[in-house]
Amino acid sequence: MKFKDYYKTMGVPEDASADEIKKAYRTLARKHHPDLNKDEEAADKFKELAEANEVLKDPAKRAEYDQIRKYGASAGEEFAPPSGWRSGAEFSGGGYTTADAAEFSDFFETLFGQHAARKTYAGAGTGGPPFAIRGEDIHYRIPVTLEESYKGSTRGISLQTHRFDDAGRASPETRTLNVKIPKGVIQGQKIRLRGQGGAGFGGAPNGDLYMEVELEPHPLFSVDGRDVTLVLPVAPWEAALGATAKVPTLGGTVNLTIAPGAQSGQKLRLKGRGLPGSANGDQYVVLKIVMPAVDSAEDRALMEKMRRQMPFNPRETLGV
Amino acid sequence: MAKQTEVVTGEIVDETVRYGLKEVCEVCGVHAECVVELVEAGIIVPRGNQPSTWRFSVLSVMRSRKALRLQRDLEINIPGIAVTLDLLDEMESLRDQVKSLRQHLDKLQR
Repeated sequence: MKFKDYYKTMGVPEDASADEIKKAYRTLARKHHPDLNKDEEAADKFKELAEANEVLKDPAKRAEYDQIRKYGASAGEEFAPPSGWRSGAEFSGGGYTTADAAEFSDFFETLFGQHAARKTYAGAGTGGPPFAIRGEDIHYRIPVTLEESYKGSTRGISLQTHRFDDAGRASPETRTLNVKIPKGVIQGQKIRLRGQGGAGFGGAPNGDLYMEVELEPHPLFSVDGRDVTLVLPVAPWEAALGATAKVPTLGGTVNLTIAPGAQSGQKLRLKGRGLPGSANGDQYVVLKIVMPAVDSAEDRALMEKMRRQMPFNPRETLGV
Repeated sequence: MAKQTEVVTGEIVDETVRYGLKEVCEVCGVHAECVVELVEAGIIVPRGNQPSTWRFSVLSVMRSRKALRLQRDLEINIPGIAVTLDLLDEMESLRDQVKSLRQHLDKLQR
């Protein structure tokens, strides 16, 4: 077990006043709160912060912690409490703690008792009736390809959670699950798997697992909700004269009719060919006129002929 | 080591209403008053006109939990939470839009 320097976590000096600690906590909490900050590390940072605050904001716990700190431990070092160490801090509950206390570290639990965190959390006074806490919810971001969303799929995922033994001690556990990714999931959508979160304590139900869909970038399509967009390159003569072009869609290749006189940037709609849903999304096709290589003398002559025959100022709208 | 090979199917978190007030309280670990407060502030909107007939969506349940976390961890009051949640929703939707537009732009430029 590593020693934790709560002062360092909070970025305050050892002799910081209660007000300074409060202010430091508030500032850092806003920065790292997992509901406000989507970075993967934010949740861990916040957990550390909440734990540090739980100790430093409470004069009794802080005094005990300071004693241990004086006893010679420093951050990151292997730490074992002095023999016979017993916390005298009263966990007299009443209201919330500042954190999901079931998440506190072994270090915290060794100093302040295994149940201390959870007791505080439950708001049950010491010596109160047995308490029970619903397991934590787990949030998991699941990368999904467009093809998977289009067809639906099943995916194996592994999760870090913890379970409680009879003594109420949490131990980490890696769980693998096969989860179904329903057809037509879209960016940011959440899937709730009831009871698949962290284990409940004292007979309380398990938490839930929330999987947030993160659509992976696709080489051909961009996505907006259920609609997908494809940029379709067309030759100048296809645009001028009209054409039938083969177009990839999520459901396979289709033929698209391009009307004569098409322009670059023109948007065509293939109704219902986006992601499936109660109302299917559409596929948009944006035309992009691309030039062939003009290499030979004949090619250049043809271009020259166009220039002579088709007076055209493409920059007219710019007023030049 | 028993292996879990069965496939777990979840529910999509959307506006479909599924839960009564009691279930929301259980999931959130709070008293009914707390949930009523969230409803009164317009943070979550149940179907039904009185607490006994209220039905909530999973989205509302998630929103409630988020609201309660913000209240607990950051000591934000209820009107503050309402504003925060609205801004977070807007941020998320803008973020998704930027992502989508960026992808489109990439494809136009190559």
